[in-house]
Amino acid sequence: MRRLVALIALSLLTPAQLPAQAGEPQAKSGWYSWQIVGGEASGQQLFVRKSGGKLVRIALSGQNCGLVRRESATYLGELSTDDAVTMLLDIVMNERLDRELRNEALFGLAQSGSDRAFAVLNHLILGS
Amino acid sequence: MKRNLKVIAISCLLLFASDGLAQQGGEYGEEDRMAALAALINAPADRALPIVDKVLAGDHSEELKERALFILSQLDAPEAQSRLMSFAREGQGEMQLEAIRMIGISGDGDAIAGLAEIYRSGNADTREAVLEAYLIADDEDAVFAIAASTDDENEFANAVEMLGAMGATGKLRDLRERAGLSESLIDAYAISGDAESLRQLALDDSDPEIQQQAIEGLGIIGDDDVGELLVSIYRDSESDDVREAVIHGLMIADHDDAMLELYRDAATSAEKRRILEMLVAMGSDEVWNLIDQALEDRQ
Repeated sequence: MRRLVALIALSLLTPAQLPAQAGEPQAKSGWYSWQIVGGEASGQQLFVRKSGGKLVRIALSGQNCGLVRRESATYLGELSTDDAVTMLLDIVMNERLDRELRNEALFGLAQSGSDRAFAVLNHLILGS
Repeated sequence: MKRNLKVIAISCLLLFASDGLAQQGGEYGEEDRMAALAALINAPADRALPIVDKVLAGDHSEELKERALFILSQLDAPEAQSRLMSFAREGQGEMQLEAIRMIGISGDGDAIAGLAEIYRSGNADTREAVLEAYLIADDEDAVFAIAASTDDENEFANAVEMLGAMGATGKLRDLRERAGLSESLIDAYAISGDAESLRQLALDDSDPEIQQQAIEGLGIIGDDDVGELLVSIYRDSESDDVREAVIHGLMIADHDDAMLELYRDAATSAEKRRILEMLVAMGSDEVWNLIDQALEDRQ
């Protein structure tokens, strides 16, 4: 089940430049959320916003207060810290995406507290 | 308060953090490093500190190190504040000054209290940075203590100017009782928007220089009431210097209506010419009507 949720999550994120796919859960507000379970970011929520078929915002709960009203986001289930970090890293490293969005993903990585996220941040900042 | 500052800081960093994470030939550029470092503001302190320490100790650009100091100021951990204080005490050049200012941004009470010793033992640049930190932290008491205890005119002027910028009207009035009036104090009244103190001084003709400075200070404040007050001072005064100060005050305040009133009341052509010059300098639309009228009167 968890794997399925992760696949849905990735289907929202991977075709970030493409129109929304048929069968994808639709949120009126454009916001989707996952509950992160297990790992360093456990208990936080991951929010993404799609507009015009593109991913336009991303945030972990607690980050960017007031960015989204939780009740307005379509809840998509649980996600592991590892999967959430993978999504954030995909965005950070995707040069075709908007810079502000990639900065938001960086902030999410830092907030996750994950070892893998910090290894990447360490590398980005110090080159080691 | 600190949480609000952090939210604002995060928003600013998200907007301006970087020109992106362009990976060029496998190497990350300075802007990429800046963006990633900025993200640490959101990280657990124990995860962020080791990276920030390495940036500060390593051979990196001053800009990256200054960003690292900012991150230190925002981390909610005593170790972060103590590192910031070390840089403020023992750092060199711009890094030391930036660390001092960052203590102001941190809003940490103990660290801000520690700035007093740095001020006492510091040079002019250090002292200026400490005053800026107090301004950022809105610590009126600390700036007042400096102004109230110094015999040095420049130091007094710097502190008083900062109190003006902080809008510390009450503290500035206290200083008048302690140290008497000075040019810097009157300037600070104007900067802080203390129209009442300036009004009293502007109406008191016992010291013409102070009166004139107060009149021009009222022009800096520039409230609607100021125009009316300055016009009445002009009418009641027989001093050319006071009248000139009023004209300057009205020009600074951009009160062309009040200036027009004076123009219409002017008794001599020299007086009219002087006020007209000022109206031209102000770019008042009404001035062209006056010029037309003056030309018609001549014909």
